[in-house]
Amino acid sequence: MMNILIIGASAAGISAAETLRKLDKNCNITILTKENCNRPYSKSLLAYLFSNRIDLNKIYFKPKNFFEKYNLTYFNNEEVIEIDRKNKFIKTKNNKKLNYDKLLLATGSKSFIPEINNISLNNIFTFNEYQNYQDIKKNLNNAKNIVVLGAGFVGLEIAYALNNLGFDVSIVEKCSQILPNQMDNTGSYFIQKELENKGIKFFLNQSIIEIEGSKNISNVILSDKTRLKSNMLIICSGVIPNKEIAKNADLETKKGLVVDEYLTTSDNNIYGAGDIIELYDITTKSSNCSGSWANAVIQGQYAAYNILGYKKRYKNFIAVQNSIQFYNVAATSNGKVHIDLSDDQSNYEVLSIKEKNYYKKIVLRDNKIIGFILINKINQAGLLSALIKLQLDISEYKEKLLYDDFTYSYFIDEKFEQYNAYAEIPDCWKYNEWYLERKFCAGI
Amino acid sequence: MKKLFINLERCFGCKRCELACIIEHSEEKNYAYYLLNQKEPKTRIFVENYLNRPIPLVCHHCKDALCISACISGCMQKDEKTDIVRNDNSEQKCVGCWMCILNCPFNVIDREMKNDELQAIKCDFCANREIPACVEACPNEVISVIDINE
Amino acid sequence: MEIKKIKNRPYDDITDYMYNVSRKDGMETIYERFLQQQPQCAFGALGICCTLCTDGPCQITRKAKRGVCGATADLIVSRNLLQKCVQGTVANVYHARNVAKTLLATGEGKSDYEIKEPEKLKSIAEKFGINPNKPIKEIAREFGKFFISQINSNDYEELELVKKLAPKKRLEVWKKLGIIPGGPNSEAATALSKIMTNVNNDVEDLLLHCLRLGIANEYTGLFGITTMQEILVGTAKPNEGKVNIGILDKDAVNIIMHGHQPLLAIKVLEKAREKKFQEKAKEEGAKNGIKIYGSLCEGQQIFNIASEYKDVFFGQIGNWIQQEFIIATGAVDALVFDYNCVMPTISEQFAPKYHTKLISTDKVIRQAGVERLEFEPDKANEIAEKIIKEAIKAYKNRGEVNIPELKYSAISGFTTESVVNALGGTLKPLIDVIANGNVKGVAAVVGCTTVREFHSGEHITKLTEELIKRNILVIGAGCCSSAMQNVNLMSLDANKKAGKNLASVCKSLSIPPCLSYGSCTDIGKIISTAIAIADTLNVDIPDLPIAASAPEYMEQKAVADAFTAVAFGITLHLSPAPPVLGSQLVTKILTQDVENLTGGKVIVELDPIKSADLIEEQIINKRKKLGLK
Repeated sequence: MMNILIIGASAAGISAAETLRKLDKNCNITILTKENCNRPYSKSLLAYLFSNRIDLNKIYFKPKNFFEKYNLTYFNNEEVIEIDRKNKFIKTKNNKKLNYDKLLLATGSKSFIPEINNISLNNIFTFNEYQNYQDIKKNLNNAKNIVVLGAGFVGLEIAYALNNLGFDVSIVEKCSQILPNQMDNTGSYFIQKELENKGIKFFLNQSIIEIEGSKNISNVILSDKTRLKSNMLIICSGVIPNKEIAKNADLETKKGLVVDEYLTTSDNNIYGAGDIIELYDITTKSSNCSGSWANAVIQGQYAAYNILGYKKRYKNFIAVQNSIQFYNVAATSNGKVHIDLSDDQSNYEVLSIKEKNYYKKIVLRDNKIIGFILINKINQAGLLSALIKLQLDISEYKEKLLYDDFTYSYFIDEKFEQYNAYAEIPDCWKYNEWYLERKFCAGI
Repeated sequence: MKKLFINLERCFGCKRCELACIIEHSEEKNYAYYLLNQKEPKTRIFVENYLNRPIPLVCHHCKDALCISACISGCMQKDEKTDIVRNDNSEQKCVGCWMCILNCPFNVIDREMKNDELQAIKCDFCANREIPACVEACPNEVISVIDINE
Repeated sequence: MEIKKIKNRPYDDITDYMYNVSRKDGMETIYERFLQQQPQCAFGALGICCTLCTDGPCQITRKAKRGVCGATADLIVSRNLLQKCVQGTVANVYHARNVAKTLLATGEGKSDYEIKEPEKLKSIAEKFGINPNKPIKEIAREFGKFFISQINSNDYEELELVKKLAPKKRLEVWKKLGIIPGGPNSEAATALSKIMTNVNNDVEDLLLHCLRLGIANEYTGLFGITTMQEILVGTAKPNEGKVNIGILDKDAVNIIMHGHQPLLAIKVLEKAREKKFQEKAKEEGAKNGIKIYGSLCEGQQIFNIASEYKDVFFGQIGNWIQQEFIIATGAVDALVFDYNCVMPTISEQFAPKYHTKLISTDKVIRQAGVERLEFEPDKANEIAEKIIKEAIKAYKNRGEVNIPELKYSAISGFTTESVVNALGGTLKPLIDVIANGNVKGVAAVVGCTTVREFHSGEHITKLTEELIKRNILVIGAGCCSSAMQNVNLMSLDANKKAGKNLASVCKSLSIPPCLSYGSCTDIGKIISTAIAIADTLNVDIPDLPIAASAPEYMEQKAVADAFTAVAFGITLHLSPAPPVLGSQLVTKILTQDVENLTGGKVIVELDPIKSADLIEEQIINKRKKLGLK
């Protein structure tokens, strides 16, 4: 009976555990997490706690009886500090020793903390784990002017939530636009305008060069010497994968844990899934880590297949994907949306349409879609994502890409590995003669 | 398991399926009252256009559904007995993140305002009816229910 | 279907350029609206949707073979068809009544117009017992009164116009079928009563009534319009002019006369010549003074007689689809419209954005918020002056101007008389070339332009090019003329695209292979040319090697004209499919059975090459029956 150990109880780890149990009723599955929670919770939901969209008991993404139902062993408060690859066991901080036949590293990522003086004063927080949420909530009573460092995804979400609660929120971002990795200038401006109208202040092209305060933080100073009153600072300037445990075990790591197409690390018995791994991104043509929930869940499923020996190839990885709703603006983006100066301009083509409340941009490379941004009319997002993964040559549809009716109706021949929902149509349907046959095909 | 099946050449684009879906999922169960309450009609079956041919798009209630993998709150789930994929039938709550819309290749998830909150809505196979509303309403018998072994 | 070839954009390059300009300005055009309407419900497109009573709306579906009252698909389709035919007929009759009123007023000395073609008036009035030796004004008065009385007569009194003017062989056919019509408005009222709920169940009777309306459409509508207009403003003469949107001048006050009734336009042309207005325009900064253009069918009719107005009339601008793009140039100072084919968005969206002053000149055509200067025969000069003053005022509000560079030229002004003149006085030369096979036959390509089936002028152009390649002479009328002019098919250059034999005939006469007869109402003139040829050869119209085609018909007047063609025994090609395919019986009657009754029938085909094949086949069959090779 195989012993399978999973380090990390978030998206990747839990999805791997569930898939493993559905595929094999007998193996031993143990999940370890260093956090305190007694049920797996969704990190992406934490910001919604502040905006009162959900209550505390709704942050769990699996039902109460999850571990029981799938016969999983779960240890919380156990931080793994060493992996002995030769003898195949792990050791935790509390000196717990567990053997494994197969090991899955799904340790996720942690907040990146930039080097600024006084960074360890009180009331300075990161926003990544449940503990951070609790710390921030405890100190919210004393807060009035909150500064958020970083206008990425997480930064905007927490700023939006706190602004709704009535606090005075400012966002400091070192790039010239918000959401620098996920959007282009035009798309990000839609969101920025909406948030500014609701009272959030933006300081772009700025970093924090100094923090002032004695025990608690009182001010921050920006690159252009502006002094911002701040009695709480939340740092959301990116995440870095928790790969120390892998590095210390001599597994190959670069930006993140290096895995192959079968999500196997440089050790045949150790696998990786989620924020920790880096993979080749087909849209940017480089290896990157991803912070997307959907990617982590699917990687967990694929890792489970490969752990049990099914050899399922994980391909078409896209690092950047997100969707967001702030007040009246809904935005989604996927793939490569910026074209840098270093790219060979001749291969790329950008199609876009911008109206007062609507923006759609599609980036093509060699007549294949590699990225898109949609603002406010987001229904077609799913199809465009699927076309990126399929890497379909869409040169014959180029003029139709920007139309509102460019939906799955153009691709009903693609089944996307599901059942065929459309009966075979008579040939005349495709040609002009259908207007004569239409009534008879319908049997009227 | 039961799925929806479409005979495309019979579809005339009258959109009675959309109308029946809206009425079935409204509180008032009557289109006139629904409109009087000034809500924007939201349907879960879509009659889209391909070169002026009408094509109904339906939820496939997929196995290994991408919307379930993408859901950050865990509310999108597949019922074990009926295989229907729904996001309003569990303890978890939809927070309106739209990751499901970003991942569904069939374009069949939409957003609706419920109790002052925007949530994702999708076909629920009319779980509390004998046959789905769209199947019953279609005048040309375009949509039917079939049984598939998956 | 090859998806690459399908495009939801204008067909010719100049309009395509203007489409890009309007999209950049953020305007929603006909193409966006068309796309938003897709997919369009096929119950309506097949004609099997009935919305007459509150027991409905009913459709004939796979589950329901009858409406709630018991109507079958055949009945619903024929009721809908008759309704459209009624609308088309009464529209043409309204136009004819306006012209008759002007003729009557001229006869009474109460109008600004004069009789330009007294011989024509005398010859036609003579047929109805009016003494041709009376003073011309007296004849005009009596004929005008007679015509109006014919329009107002009852449907059980057979029209004198029909009995005296129709060719004898046609009259026999119609008498046998019992379809000689009475007064058109009364016919329309009876027809509308027939299609009420639960009244008439006889499909064949409804279709025969359509034919009655078709005949009434010709004699009290189209024929009356064209004859009386020619009497008042002069007969068409071939002349050359410039066409398409590029003809606008950014240094002139541009006035466009848009619509179908050219009587007022003539007065505007005469007023625009006057030195005081030209000087005023130059004072306001328009270096080149005032320029008048025509648009739609009104433009075609002015184009026909434009040889005398070359100093103020600067060309025919466009057809129905192009109207929004014409305004988007920003160079139109006044758009004066008088009768149908004006889109609602012109007054609601485009004119406010692009500074154009809109003026409506007929009491029927009203757009909310638009100034109305209703035409009366004795106020024409006054209204024309006001129009010019308003246009000069509007010139000051011009913003950015975006006029495409390319201009084409075209020859227009053909009608029975001018064709006969060009041939040297008789129709014999034309009949000879048809007989010896150099010209296989004549095809009339007439009607509107539509965005359905992604046509936008493409079907018209490709069909015409195919037909002239096969040595078939093409006559254009209506927006089809404009579509052909826009792609340079009505100039002498087009002879390069024509087949060898046709090209040599046309070059020797210095005419293009596509002759423009003018507006859609000039279909009446095409029929009279056909009658003239038939009389010369002493045959009936169905025997002639001719065919008609409405390759992009759009509105109800085209439906009425279609029944006119069928009643006269002409084979008519239609595209897109008319809303009759829902009923097998009606489709069979229109495409097969009616040939045995009147000699005419309908062919439906969407592809331009195949349409050309079918038309050529029809013409060759008729040649064989006549004994020609």
